[in-house]
Amino acid sequence: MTSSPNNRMQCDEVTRAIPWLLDEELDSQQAAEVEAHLHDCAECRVVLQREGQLRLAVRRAGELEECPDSLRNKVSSACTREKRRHLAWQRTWPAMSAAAILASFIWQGTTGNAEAQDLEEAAVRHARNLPMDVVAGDLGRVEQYFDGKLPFAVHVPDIVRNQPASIQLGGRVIDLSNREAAYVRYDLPGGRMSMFVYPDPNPRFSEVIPGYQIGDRRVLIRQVRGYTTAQWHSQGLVYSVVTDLPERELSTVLTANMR
Amino acid sequence: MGFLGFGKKAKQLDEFQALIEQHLDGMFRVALRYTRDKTLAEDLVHDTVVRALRFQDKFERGTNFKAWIYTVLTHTFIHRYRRQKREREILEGATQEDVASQLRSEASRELAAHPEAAYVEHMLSDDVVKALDSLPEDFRSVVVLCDLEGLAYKDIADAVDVPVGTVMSRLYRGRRLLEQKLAGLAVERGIIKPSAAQAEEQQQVLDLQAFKRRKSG
Repeated sequence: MTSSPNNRMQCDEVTRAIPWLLDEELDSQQAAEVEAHLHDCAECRVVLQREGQLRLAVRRAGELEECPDSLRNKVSSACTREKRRHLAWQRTWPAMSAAAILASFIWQGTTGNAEAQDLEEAAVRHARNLPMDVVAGDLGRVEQYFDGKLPFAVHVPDIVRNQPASIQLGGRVIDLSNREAAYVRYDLPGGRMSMFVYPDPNPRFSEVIPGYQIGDRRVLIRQVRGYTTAQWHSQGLVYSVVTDLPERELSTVLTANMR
Repeated sequence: MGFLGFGKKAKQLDEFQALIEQHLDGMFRVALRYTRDKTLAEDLVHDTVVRALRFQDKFERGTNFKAWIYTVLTHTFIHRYRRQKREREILEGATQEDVASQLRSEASRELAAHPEAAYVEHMLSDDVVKALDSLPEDFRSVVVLCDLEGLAYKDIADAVDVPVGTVMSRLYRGRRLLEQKLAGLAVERGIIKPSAAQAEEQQQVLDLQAFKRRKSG
């Protein structure tokens, strides 16, 4: 081939088009033109080879990684929960209309389980030390962050009021049992404390839940996955707290600050 | 009617779950390169799945699920994890300005265009991962979506929220930068000998580092 200026330009064009060819972004006619040029031009074939090898190397490196079984299981249970949520509707809806009293017992039974499940999930989230969307020294900033992001009003109780001023607070929106929740994290001197706030699925029964009387709240304290947890209901919301602090310290913090 | 509706919903959920499970390896691969951390990558994929389940009605059945799920993944990453990333990237000093100045350097362009690219074939995947992870986020995300997962430019543009033209230029610059990193690692491993151009560039980098040390020290 002669290296006329015309031909040179074609090489430029082909060099530019090689990535598009490899990325399958050219239509068949354009691809055929580029391939025809490559067939005759050793110089452009070198570029093709270089581009191709880079992609192969990246793909080969990617193939090393597979989704771990632990994640596969988590995904599968998230899907199962979603299915159960729809099935639960299917089951409880006719029951509610047919016999309200019976339905209320069913609710009562499932509520207890649902709450235990919430705490279980809250503990897992706490353990993971997730990144926060907002980090601030004062509660006002964190509350402000949630403004408009959730379908309910987030009033974060100031349960660290009497702690030293250096406490870091973090906030983000999170999924808890497939519900949107506000997640506030307090970095206390003795350990981390995570608080999850979300709508109470069944406010009518919250009064009958057993628990310690702290201030004007009934607080349920238990151990979940090696963490101390506390849970209470207020104004149509559930507050689930998970912390590294021992039970006694948690109840001291709560008693000192809740009214 | 109601029960029929629920039956249909259950079937749809099964299909949706099958689609998600089919793409889990790919999602995890991408999440791993986005976050560069196994635990964060697992969290990111889990968050993505929960969001996808919640917004599954937004997915039009019969359209490209792969493009849709990577868009959800990328948006989840940008909104939830980027703050942390930013901080890390600043620490590493891999800012956009650095990249631009590296690309402007004649020496590196010459190196990138060096025909003896066969060394790439002999590089260990761990080194390729290392080179990929060193790319700034804007370049890394498009290279990963294109070269690792084979997404179309249009779908990448949707996922990262930029025009197709920007995807193409980021891909070009990202790949050149990747080549440079790989060439650097290949020299370190003794796979190729440093070219004059590279030796000169290496010297410039060392000079800059020494200069910065003097300034900060």
